[in-house]
Amino acid sequence: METLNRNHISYQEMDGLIRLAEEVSVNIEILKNKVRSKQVQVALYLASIIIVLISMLPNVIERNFYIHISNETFGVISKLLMVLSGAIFAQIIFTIMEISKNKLTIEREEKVLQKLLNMIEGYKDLYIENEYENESSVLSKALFEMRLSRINFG
Amino acid sequence: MTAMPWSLLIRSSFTAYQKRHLLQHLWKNLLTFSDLGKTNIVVLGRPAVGKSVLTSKLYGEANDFSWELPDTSSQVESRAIQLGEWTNLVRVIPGQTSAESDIGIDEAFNKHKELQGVMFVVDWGFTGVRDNTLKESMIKNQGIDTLEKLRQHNLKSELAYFRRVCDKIREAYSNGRKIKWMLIVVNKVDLFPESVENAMNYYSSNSDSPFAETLNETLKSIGELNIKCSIMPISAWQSDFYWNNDTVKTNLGGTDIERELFRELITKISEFSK
Ligand SMILES: Nc1nc2c(ncn2[C@@H]2O[C@H](COP(=O)(O)OP(=O)(O)OP(=O)(O)O)[C@@H](O)[C@H]2O)c(=O)[nH]1
Ligand SMILES: [Mg+2]
Repeated sequence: METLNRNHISYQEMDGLIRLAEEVSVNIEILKNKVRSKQVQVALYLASIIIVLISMLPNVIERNFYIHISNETFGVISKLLMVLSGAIFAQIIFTIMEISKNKLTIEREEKVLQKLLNMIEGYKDLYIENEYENESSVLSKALFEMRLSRINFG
Repeated sequence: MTAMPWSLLIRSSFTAYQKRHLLQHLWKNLLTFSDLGKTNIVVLGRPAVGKSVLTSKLYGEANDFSWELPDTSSQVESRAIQLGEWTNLVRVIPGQTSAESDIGIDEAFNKHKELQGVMFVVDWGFTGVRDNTLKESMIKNQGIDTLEKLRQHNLKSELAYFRRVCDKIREAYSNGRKIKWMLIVVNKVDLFPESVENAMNYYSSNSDSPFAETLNETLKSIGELNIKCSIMPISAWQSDFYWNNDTVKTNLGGTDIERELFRELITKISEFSK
């Protein structure tokens, strides 16, 4: 086989690529955790709205708290509760918007990571081939493999 | 009156026995769907050798007109595939190294004893490069500017990957896990119909190629009688191959040949899994 005229892939180049992939991967994980906790938030908000609405039924209040409420008081209370549930509802909308924004970012980051891993895989093969006889590279190759095997999509 | 439940019981267990393949098929599908099942067959190989396409063909979904060629896989792909009488849970490990592929390999080889077979997909150096930056850098900076140079480079990387897989198999054996068979699937034969013999020879244990050397070492260390090993040609997806200024036209010679190759592959796997 003829020898190739090459610019060797350096340790620094490989290291840089893998470090970037590690950063993106960590970022994806953080974002995914954020989305998960926001989804829990939405569920809790929804539950609280439902509780508020149920408690607005006059007979529920009467039966549970053994108090008789005049129509006037009930009107005031129900208005207050309406405002409260409206506020919670707005919060839900706001959180859902945030979730979808985060999801878009995650999608973008995943694409970047995918592209990076594609490149790294190819450069790794070139790196291994270049450095085949070099003893010190055995360790660096193993380290690259280990670092890659920790990179996930969250 | 009392005879009724007995006859019903007997009859229903008889039906269940008759339908055991179907029941097992449904069960495997459920396991696959919930991703709880243990891998029976693991598909391995470098990125872009055609693992996903091949598996989708075996599964049947790739014959659908709406089916599109997949991109690089980042997740392990699970499919319940009926090969012969029984259904197997087949898992495709992404070619690129990541936590996902590492966990997939670990699950298949180290976590349980259900793994029956390994399909190692190779393509005789006809591996395309998906990333354009990498492609450019390989052609311009690394001097891999002809198809032949690309093939040599790919074969080297393939060998390195195969060595890692062989290490996994040996490790599994030393931990008491019995993998029954290994199939080396030579994909993309539509790109080299005239040299299929040469390719099969390169991957066969009878040759003196470095690939065969690794294969023989592995077979010897786990005992040749313990594992069945075979090489099968296949063409999962016919398309032309481009590299820099070189073009290779796909030329399998008809869908009949493709079908025949698939039939033989499936027969082989079901024979192995018996
Ligand atoms: N000519 C030809 N091309 C093929 C054949 N099989 C697959 N390809 C090409 O190879 C490309 C990659 O196939 P995939 O199945 O996505 O590769 P993969 O092994 O799953 O790759 P990763 O998911 O990255 O591990 C496809 O887009 C096809 O164009 C074949 O039999 N002949
Ligand atoms: Mg794939």
